[in-house]
Amino acid sequence: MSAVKVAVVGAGVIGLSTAVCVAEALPYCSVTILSEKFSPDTTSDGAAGILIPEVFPDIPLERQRRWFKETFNHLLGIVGSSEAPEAGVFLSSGCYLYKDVPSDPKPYWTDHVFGFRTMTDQEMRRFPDYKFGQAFTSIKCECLRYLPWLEKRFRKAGGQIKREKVTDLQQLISSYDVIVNCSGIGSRHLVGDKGVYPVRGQIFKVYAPWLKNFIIGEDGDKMAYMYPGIDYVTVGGTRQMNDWRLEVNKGDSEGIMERCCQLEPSMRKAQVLEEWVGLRPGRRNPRVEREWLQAEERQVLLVHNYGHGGCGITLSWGTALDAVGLVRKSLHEQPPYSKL
Amino acid sequence: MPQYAEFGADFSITLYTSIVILLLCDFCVIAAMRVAVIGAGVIGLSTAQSIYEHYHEKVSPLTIEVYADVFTPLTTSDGAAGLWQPYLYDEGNVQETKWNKETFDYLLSFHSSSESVKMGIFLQSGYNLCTERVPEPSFKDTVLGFRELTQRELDVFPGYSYGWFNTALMVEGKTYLPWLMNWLSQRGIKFYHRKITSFKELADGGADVIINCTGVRSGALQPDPELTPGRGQIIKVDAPWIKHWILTHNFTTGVYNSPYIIPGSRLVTVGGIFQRGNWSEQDNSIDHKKVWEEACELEPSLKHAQIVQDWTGLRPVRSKVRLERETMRSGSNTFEVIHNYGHGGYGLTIHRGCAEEAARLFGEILQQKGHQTKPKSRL
Repeated sequence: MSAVKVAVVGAGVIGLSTAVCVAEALPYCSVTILSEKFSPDTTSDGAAGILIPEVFPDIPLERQRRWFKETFNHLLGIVGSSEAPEAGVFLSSGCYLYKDVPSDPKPYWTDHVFGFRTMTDQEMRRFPDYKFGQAFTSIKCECLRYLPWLEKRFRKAGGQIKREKVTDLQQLISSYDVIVNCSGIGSRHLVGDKGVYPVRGQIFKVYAPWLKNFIIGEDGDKMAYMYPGIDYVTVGGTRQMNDWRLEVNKGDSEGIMERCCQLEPSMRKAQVLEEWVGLRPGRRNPRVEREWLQAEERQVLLVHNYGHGGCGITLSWGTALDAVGLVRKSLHEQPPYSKL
Repeated sequence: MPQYAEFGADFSITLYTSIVILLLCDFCVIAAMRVAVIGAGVIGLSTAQSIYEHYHEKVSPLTIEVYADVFTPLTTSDGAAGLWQPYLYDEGNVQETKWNKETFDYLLSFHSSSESVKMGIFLQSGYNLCTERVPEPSFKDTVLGFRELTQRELDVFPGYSYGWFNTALMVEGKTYLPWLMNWLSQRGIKFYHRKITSFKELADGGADVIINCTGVRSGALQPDPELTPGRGQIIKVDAPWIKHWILTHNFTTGVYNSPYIIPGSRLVTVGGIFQRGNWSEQDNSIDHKKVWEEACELEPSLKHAQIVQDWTGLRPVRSKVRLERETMRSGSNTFEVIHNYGHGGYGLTIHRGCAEEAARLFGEILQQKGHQTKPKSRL
């Protein structure tokens, strides 16, 4: 019996995670990743990678919780191993500050990060502009290292990689039995999903090795965050809906630096290495579901795994496992026709 | 007395002026004081700073000189990891707990200032791990956000079943000492690279008060059976993904003989050696192996990290800090010594509290010498 041919479209954190999960969990599949961009040029590469999810409106909470928990536990396993530096995964502690008490001060994920608690008055003295704060320890997963690490794992599981831009899924149906669509923002055009929109994020990469804890300041749409990483601190940010501009905007730069230096005065001494813009693949909810494409004499399984917004890394492993589950279930229900 | 002024001699004008001013002003001191500080580690430099801060306006001229055989980056303070954390329990030594807290609060006040980076001060969170449930440490209310570790956190550190998480301050000797030296030299304090062999040497040279901050080698100036080296050996590693300090505690092997990992602003300090009575300043390969293996077991991510260098230092261990005055004689003259040494593995942790106390003792000396001075009250 010949292997089931699986094409994974996209090589960001979702594409690579899903491809690894399929290749490792389903040995009867031969998996090929097709993508125009690879690390370090994907959206995932610029993301700070701290595991903090948003709560999506229409997906059952239990499913979201599973997505987050599975990602957290998977990465936690790497944190505790000697592979952590190569994978770019480590524990990161810090605080989330609010000017007003948040509407939901205890979202589901607060049970899964470590040591989630309200900050003491003594701790809040550092931040006189903020009324309320929460401290916790989560995991940071840096895609500049994580994606190459995943790629290594993917190849070890027998996966193939093709550097090519997929402009039409129809291109793939004659060569593959299963297509897994992890094209992120690209899904807007690739599958015609007008529900996908860019959420523009601009950041600085700053050299400030004395900053060890993350700081997030929530103030309406004026974001201020600093995430200490292995080689630099990610300082941001912006959340501009439907904004496709990939160029750095000076007004945004000034706003970000001003807000962050207010929160952490030592940043005034930090050296800016680079500025970067990424387009989060925004969607009302991430789309993790299957459909069937009609080919000439057969049906090709299409599993979607896109639209994670600013939670790609945060939900990567959990949604990848979910997608694998859909592939496995579908193949079991409807095995692909063997070609004559 | 006014008749002396007619002759215009410098001496007589000075005497005339002094007497007039003394009569007029309770708070002014006109008398040169020469202070010699021995030792340029964190204790010597911070004590010089405190004395200057409190008395430079009240004693004129106040000459402060620092004498040391080693300066930054070669002092014991330079090799220390720089984590503010006292030993877990003070065993009734509430004075030291107070000095530790004073130091923490003092450093924290600079943290949000523009000076923090130049001072080598920053916040860092971390883990204190124990193999059994133990009483809460003396510093629990001083540090930020102190709490017990949850079971899931403890699962990250197999072999440890209890512990705490908190945010503390780092003060890196290699940055803080140059900052202190710069602060002092801008205010006219002079430094002399010289090994002092006796207090008398300085007294005979004109020092009125000697501040003894000679750390582990204080015994060479005055025998002290309570002072002993607590040899430590550390490994500096390039591991910038580690963002927390991790200290383990083993009540059988004793303080610092259990692995610890403390990230600095550039390198991570890995240690776990505390050998009482060992004067060797050479790196030892058996100690290196012990430190490295235990640290990698505690933190597997270190296995492939690049080792940059080893370093050995001698902690100035004593049953408690010696911070007291002593009047000594040299021929027919008496001179004052303020001892400030024996800070063990918590010199950076306690330095400011001790410096302020030494300054207070200095004020006592001034009062006793008949000077009309009132030291600034400590808030």
